[in-house]
This record gives sequence, C-alpha cells and structure tokens, in this order.
Amino acid sequence: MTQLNSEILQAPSLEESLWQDACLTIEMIALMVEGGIRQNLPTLLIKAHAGPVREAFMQRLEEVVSRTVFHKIPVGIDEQRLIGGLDLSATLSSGKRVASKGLLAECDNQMLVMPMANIMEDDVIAQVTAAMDNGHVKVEREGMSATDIAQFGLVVFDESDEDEQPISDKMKDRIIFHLDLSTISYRVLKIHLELKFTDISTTAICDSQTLKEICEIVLSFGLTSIRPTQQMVRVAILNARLNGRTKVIQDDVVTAVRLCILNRAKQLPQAPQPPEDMQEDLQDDEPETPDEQQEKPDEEQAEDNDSTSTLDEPLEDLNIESLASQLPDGLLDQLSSSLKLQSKTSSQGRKGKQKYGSKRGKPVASRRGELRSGKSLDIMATLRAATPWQKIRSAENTSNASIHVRPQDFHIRRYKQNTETSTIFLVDASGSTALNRLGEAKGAVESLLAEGYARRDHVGLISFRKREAEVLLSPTRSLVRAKKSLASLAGGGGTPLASGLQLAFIMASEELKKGRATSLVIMTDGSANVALDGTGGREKAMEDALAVSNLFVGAGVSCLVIDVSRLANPKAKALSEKLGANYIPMPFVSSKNLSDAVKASR
Amino acid sequence: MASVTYPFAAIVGQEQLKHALLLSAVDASLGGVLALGDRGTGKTTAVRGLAALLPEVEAVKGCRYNCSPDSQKAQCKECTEETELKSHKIAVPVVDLPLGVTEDRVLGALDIEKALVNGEKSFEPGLLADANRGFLYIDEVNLLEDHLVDVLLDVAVSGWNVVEREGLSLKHPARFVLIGSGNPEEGDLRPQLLDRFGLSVDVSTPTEISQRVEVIKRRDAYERNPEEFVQKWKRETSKLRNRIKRAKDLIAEVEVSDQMLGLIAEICIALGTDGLRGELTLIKSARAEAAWCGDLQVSETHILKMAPSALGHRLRRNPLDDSKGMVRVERVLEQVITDRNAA
Repeated sequence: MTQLNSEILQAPSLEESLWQDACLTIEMIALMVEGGIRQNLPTLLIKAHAGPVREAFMQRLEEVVSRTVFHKIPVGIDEQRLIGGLDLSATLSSGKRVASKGLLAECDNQMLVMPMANIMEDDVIAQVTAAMDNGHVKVEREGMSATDIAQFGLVVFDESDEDEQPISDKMKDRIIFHLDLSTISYRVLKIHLELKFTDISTTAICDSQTLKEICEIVLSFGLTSIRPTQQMVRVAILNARLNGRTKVIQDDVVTAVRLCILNRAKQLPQAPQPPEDMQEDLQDDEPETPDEQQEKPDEEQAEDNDSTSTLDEPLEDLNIESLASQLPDGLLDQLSSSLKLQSKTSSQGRKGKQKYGSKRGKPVASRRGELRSGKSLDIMATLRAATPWQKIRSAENTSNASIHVRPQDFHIRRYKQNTETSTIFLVDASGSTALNRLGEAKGAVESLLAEGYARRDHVGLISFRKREAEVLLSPTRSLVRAKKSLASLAGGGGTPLASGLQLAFIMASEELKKGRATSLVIMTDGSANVALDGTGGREKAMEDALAVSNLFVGAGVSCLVIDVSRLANPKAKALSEKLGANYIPMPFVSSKNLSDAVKASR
Repeated sequence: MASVTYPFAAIVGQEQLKHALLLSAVDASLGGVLALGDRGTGKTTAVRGLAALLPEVEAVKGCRYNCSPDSQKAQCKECTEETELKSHKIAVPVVDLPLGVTEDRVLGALDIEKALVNGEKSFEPGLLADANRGFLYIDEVNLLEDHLVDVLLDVAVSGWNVVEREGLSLKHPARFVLIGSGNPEEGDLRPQLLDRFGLSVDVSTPTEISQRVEVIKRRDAYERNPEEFVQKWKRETSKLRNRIKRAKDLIAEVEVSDQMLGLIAEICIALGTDGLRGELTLIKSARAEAAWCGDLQVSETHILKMAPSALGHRLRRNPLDDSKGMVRVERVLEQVITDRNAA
C-alpha cells in the first residue's frame, strides 16, 4: 500500500480524514493556480455553515492562492452588477457609449466566492454557470453589446440544512472539488498538515485503461453527465503529480473519488439503477454498509481482468468493490444517509410557481410599462430610458423643461415571489367503494405532504356523503396533523355533490386570498343524488352541482376531475367541462396514481 | 474555452440531436430545434459546432440585416430601394441570446451614441437583425422571461420585426431558425413555445463506457491543441458540409405522394396532436430527410424516422402516462404500421 492509503488506515476518525482531504484539496488548488488561475480554473464546492472550520479552510486557501483577491458575490446581487451594462454617467459625460463591467468580468483571472449559494436566485446561478461554460460574459443590455472575458476560479458554499433545498445540480455539475466540512468539528483543526509534497512532477498521464475505469466509477455513482468524469481525471492527474508520479495509479483514482465524486453521488455503486426508481429504493434499503459492496457483480471484475492483462500491475484490482474498501471508515455510511435525505428534498422539487407582481417579493429588473394604479415607477430606470433622447426631444420641443420624459420611458418596478401552493381534495365518500377511495385519497394527501416540504405545499381534504359535505382536513402543511385528523374516516350514503363543491369553493377562495396557487382535485363518479338543500332526487342534485360549478368559472382555481366510476361516466365529464377542469378517468384509484396525476396537472 | 469551436463532426453519439440540427440547416423553414436533456450532454457544443459547419451564403454588402440579394420579398427597405446590389459571401449567422438580455437589444432600439452626440434619431439593429437568415440560439430557453418569449414568438411567426417608437418606425426581415436548449428539470416550457419548435429531441449522456471514454479523449485532445484537433477533423467536416449543400439543392425536387400524405395524417390522428402544425412539420421534415438521404421520393422510412422528433413535443400531457413523448410516438407508430399492413 502506498503512503496515502496507510495514512488513511492510521487516521483514527472520519473527521480527521475529511479534514485531511480538505487540506489535500488546497494543495491541489495551489498546484493548479501555479501557472495562473485562468489556465486551470479551480472550482470548489464546500458544504459548510460559517464557522471556525470554514474560516480555517478559507484562510489556508487564501494563503495558498496568494496571487489574487477573493471577491464575493452577495446573495441579492442584481443582474446589472453581475454581468455589467451601460455606465450611464460616463456615457453622458463622454458622449460615447461607455460600458461598465460586471462582477464576473472584473474577476477574470481571479477567485470568486459565492456564499449561501443554495438560496441564490436561479438566474444568478445560470449567469455564473454560463460564464463558466463560455469563458466570457455576453452582455446585450440597454443598447449595449459587449463580450467580456470572465475566467475565474470559484468557491461555492452550500449552507443548506437537512430539510432545505440543496444547491442546484447545474452548479454542482460544473465544479471540480466537492467537500463536506459540515460534519467536522473545530477540534480537528489542530492537526496541521505541513506541505508533504516535495517532489512534484510537472506532468502526469492517465492511460486508456485507467480512463475507462474512471468512466465506470463515475457512472456507478449515478453521475451521468460527462463533466464529473472529466473533472475526476483532472483530479487524479493532480494527485499523481503531487506525489511525484508521471502516471496515474490506483491511489490517485481513489483520492479523486473522494475529492470529486463522493459528495455529489446520486447513488451508491453497488446498486446501479435508473434514477426514477432511486428514491423509493433508497428509502427501502436501510442498511447500506460498505460490506454489502462485496456483492458487486462479477462481470465487471471479469471484464477488468481481461483487458488489464497488458497493463501495469497497480491497476489490476481496481474496481468498485476495492474502491469501497479503500475509503475511510464510515464515509459511505454518512453518504448513504445523506442520499436518503437528498431524495426527500430533491433539488428537482420546484418552489412553487414564481409570480411576478408589483407589490411584494424580491425586486427584479423593471420593465417598460404603463403607469397604472397599484404600480410603482422606477424613477432611475425611467430616467435612464429617457436620457438618450434628451437632445432629440429638446430640439423638437419648444418647452423649456430641462428634462424631457415621455410616457414611453416609464419603467415599472416588478417583484418576484415564490407562491405557495394549496391542493384541496374533494372526495366522494358515498356508496360502497367509498372507504377504499377515501383511504387512497388519504394516502395521496400524505405523500403530497411528505414530498411537498420543499415546495411549501398545503393540502386539504373535504369529503361528502349522506346529506352534506364535511371538512376532514383544513389546508395544512403538517404531515403529522394530516395523519391525526385522517385517522378515522367514514363512508357510505348519498351523494351531495353540490354541497361538496360549495364547501370546496369556500375553502379554495380562502386559500386564494392567502396568495396561494390553489388547485382542486375532485374524486367522484359525478352521479349526484342529493341536492343542495339536502333533499334527494338525481335531477335536482345534478342541476345544483352544475350551478355551484359556475362559481369556479374565472375564480383562478385549477381543477382536476378524477372519474372513479368503472366505466367513464358522462356526468363526471360534464362536470369537468363546466369547471374547465382536466378530466382523468381512474377506475382503480391508488394513492400513487393520484398524487402523480396531481403533480402532473400542476 | 478556446477560440476555435469544437468540430461538429467530432461529437460522439447524440445522433438524434445532430440529425435534427443538420436537417434544420437543410430546410430553414422546418421551425427549428428544441433540445431538452440532462446536464453535460454537449447540447451547446453541438449548436456552436453547427455554425462552423454551415456553407456560406450570399448577402448584400453593407446591409445590416444580411439581406439576400436575390429574394426581393424578404429584403429590408434599403435593399429593395437600391437598384444595384453588391453582394458578398458571409458565414451563416448564429446568434446567441444570452441570459439577462434586455428587450431593446433583442428588437433593436435608438442608437444611444448618435442620439447623445448629434441628437440624431437612428435605429440600432438588435439581435433579431443579426440573426436574419441564420440561427438564433437560446440556451436555457426555459429560464427566458415570458415577455421576451412573447416577442420572439411574434417575430418568428411573421419573419418580420416591426419597431414603432417615437418616430422610430421601421420593419426589417428577421427570419431565423430558433434553436433552444434546456433542462426540463429546471422549469417547464410553455406549450405555445413548445409548439413553435419544429423538431424536438431528448438528449441524454451516453451510458456506454466506450463512448464515454471516447468523449473524454476527444475533449482532452481538443483542449490540448484546438487548432490541430480541428485540422484532424477537417475532412469529416467538409463531408458533412457538402452533404448539406447537396440536400439543399435537392429538396425542392423531393415529392410526397398522396399515399405518404395519408400515412402522415393517420399518424397524427392516432396521436391526437393538436393543430396542423405537427402534420406540416412532419411532411416538411420527411422531405428534408429524403433530401438528406439523396432520395427524390418521401418514403415510409423517412416519415417513421422523423415522426418522433416532429411530434413528440406536441402530445397532450397524460398524467397517467409519464413516459416521454418520443416513446409514446413510437408506440403509436408501431400500431399504425401494423394496422396498415393488416389492411
């Protein structure tokens, strides 16, 4: 075993080996920036809150990358500052178009730091990643067109808590080093690692066999994008160079897995499975220990042995199985539990529809528009828009006004807010199959709530049976509350559809008033037989139901009618048409189908 | 990040995407390409590579809108008024619509410099003018602000950009092939925008190890020495370029028989695609495919090959069937063909 491995074996705790990895990353970055940042563009994602560990790490990093300042991208940065735009005052005084550079272009050949990147706006992330892809920022704003070189190193902090949305995959995909310092306590900081690399090689190569293995390893961790593979090759080469080797060996590959792959793994190697099934499977497989990895399919090993016959020794037994045994104790355990968490707060869960409004939320770029009541004028933007016209207008105009502003210049302030969503289930609890139906609806409510945490979903449930409708669960976000109040359900009796719709409308309006995007899911066969006043009679009952449906026209509630009858019932179809709802026949309701349908219709 | 673009011909795999892009180069009226898919699949690389691949076109010298010297109908005002047009060869424009672009730069606006210095009212063309007769590429199309999407759709339909503001009153041709790419996980596309794209393709990374190794190797070779890499692929590149030229010359002669039109209609009815746009796109793309293959008659093979990408994004969402559009199209295709053979 080589030096690095024996060190890991000696290292008594996981914390210490993680800190060692962090220090090793710094050494690698130091090596990368030797010839200038622009040439190698080190990028680094650190999961850690602000604290002594992170500070110690950054201090060390700054020492090593001493040739540059670290610039911060603040969380609320606006687009103009980020990518640049027209420098109006300079333009006015010089009479020539003068561009002002954005932060990204200013940091060309320097280091950028993004704290709290997990709550950064999507468009900021997109701008940064676009610059990383292109190596420049393209600005097409305010009558100005420019391309500024922007090649920067990047340190991104993921400060999300367990139940919060993690950093976007788009960003993760483009970052080379992935570290998790959140589980390290400051006690390990006393281990100060001296520069142990004295004999550094200038170049190292990665032969095709190793390359192939790296490709397999990255894929086995569920990372399908090609970028992580490229990044892992780079890290393996860096590690080889640090150790004075000219060729990548197994140790380098293992190190590269730790620094570059593990903390963004989507799955653990022994369970290659399509990503769709991942969430469920991960929840089922409670104990995932490194031992289980021994069961890695043999074919992989066989294949390796075949093709390595002509190759050097050290690579012989490099496969995923041996990889696991070389990782520090407990690392895979930690990973598997964090993967479980990830599946709950998947980064795919959208935060709810984003709404642009004129009153509340985070300010976004103002836009040309009419000044009407309830809107506020962005005076600066309006003046900016008016500026270029001043000479023309004063020549045309006889008035002596010193500034000519016309309605066309008006820019209106806009704000963006993430709306919460609210889903109301209206369940037909009449007849014989009612209990089953209610049970499945209950399941759907619970699964929507369980998954909906990151999306801030509220879910409510109304049932109707016998003579009238009843609120079983007023809209809530609490899974616990939902479980409690849905514990006992009753079914059977007549079908007071109209009364159900009426109650649903009242609940939906309240939700709308709270500013939530509301949707109503109606599960019924549509055969109403109890009218609004509680009397029986199919005809009157249906009439009432359709009449109440009118309330929903233009109310802004998106509706979904789920026809639970064995054969599609024209009455349910008619109801859905009246409501302007999506219509889905679902003779065999299951909570999974139901929650999928609700999610799809949103 | 080098100044030389990665050659289109050197892209490993992604056959569907490459094919769709090539066909849209053969017939610009197909309605563009929408590439949706995972991260790191080389969507952007393919589009940029396409630009370098396309044969040059004739354009009026000095025209700000790249007007063609030949087609009077699609010329800007200046070009139609000019009696003697001098022309030169230009590279087909491929214009990026960067994130954070403002409306005035898309549509064009008052020339600030001239206005400030001379008080002169003159129009400064925007990106739509630059993209005339070429390609307009929107990466992350699903992150584009709604109002910009509206503007783009409006121009894409008419082929003209109309500017009206305080005495700035003009219109100029803006015919472009819209190419969009994005990751559907990061936000849905509005159905109107979806429908606007002629072809759509799902892109995913190759899962075969040998292909992935090849991707990394070529990428590495390219990054080490871009010029040499491009040189190495020169022959393949010019092969593709010639094939595009040949197909472009041929396409006007390609015929679609009534029987084939019938098949196309059957497919669209069986799929329940909304509107006629799907049907038209399928006819056009089958024709382009025939030209690409050097055939003068559209055959069943051409139609079957193009149906998934011409129709996949036009299906109504079915909440109970979350399989991708392409898969659903293929299922229906099988059905239609078996029925036909039985009849």
